Amino acid sequence: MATITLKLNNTNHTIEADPKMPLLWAIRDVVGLTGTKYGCGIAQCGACTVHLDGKPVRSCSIPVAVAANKNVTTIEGVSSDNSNPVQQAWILEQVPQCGYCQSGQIMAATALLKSNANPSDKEIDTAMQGHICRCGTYPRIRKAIKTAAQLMAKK
Amino acid sequence: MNLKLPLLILPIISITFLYFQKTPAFDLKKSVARGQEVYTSNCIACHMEKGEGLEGVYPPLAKSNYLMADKKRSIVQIINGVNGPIKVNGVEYDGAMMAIDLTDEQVSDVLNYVRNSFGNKGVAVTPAEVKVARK
Repeated sequence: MATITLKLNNTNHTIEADPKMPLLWAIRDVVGLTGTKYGCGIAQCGACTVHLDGKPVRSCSIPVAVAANKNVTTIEGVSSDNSNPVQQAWILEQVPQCGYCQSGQIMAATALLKSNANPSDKEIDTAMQGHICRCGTYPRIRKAIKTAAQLMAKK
Repeated sequence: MNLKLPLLILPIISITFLYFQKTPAFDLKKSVARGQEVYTSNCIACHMEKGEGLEGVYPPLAKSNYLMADKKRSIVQIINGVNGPIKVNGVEYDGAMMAIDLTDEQVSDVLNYVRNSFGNKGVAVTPAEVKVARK
């Protein structure tokens, strides 16, 4: 066990944990933020995506010690009132069906729009490929990313 | 009566001809461009946009001594995945990479991309080499 400081959504959390424990476990079971989901556990599905210093990473496959003292943003940290353009677009386009993969999808989409303010269909498909949705909401995800791009351009 | 001689010579000539016939030049530049797309779809989640990886978790591809040391090993690793401890640029990694389901051309393209990006420079990997490695 080790004492680890997690900077989660701009709040410091000091936790006692095995340094090798996945970051996702710390986020969900120790800190108690359950918006980030456990999908496959082997970095293949994208459901557990969070931002580590602004970059999307699979929290199921990163030891918690690696995230110590770095800025971790989860779906709860995107905004406190759904005001983020990506969240707005997700509501406008009614993207989720069951919703399980969607926090990962939104984290990936916000990262994509940060690096590419106006992605094409192809760029969206390429960037979002690692995020699996069993409900098949892909067309709405794509549409919502474009809507989010428009909302961001208006701001 | 002398049918035997031409019958013997013909295959020798054809084999020699095939041997010296040049395969069309492999366009590394185009392969690298296609490879970027394969990379963005399949690799970027762990190895990151600039191939920097995540120290101690995901080995870097950028200026990676391990990557550039052996292109045949890289081909096999993409086809079959990697498991267990490796040392990259002096740092130990002990994780797992899934086998990635790609065509011979995609494997060649993505390797050409990573081997010629992020400060790396390497000779081309052809789809034929990938095909051989699958056997």
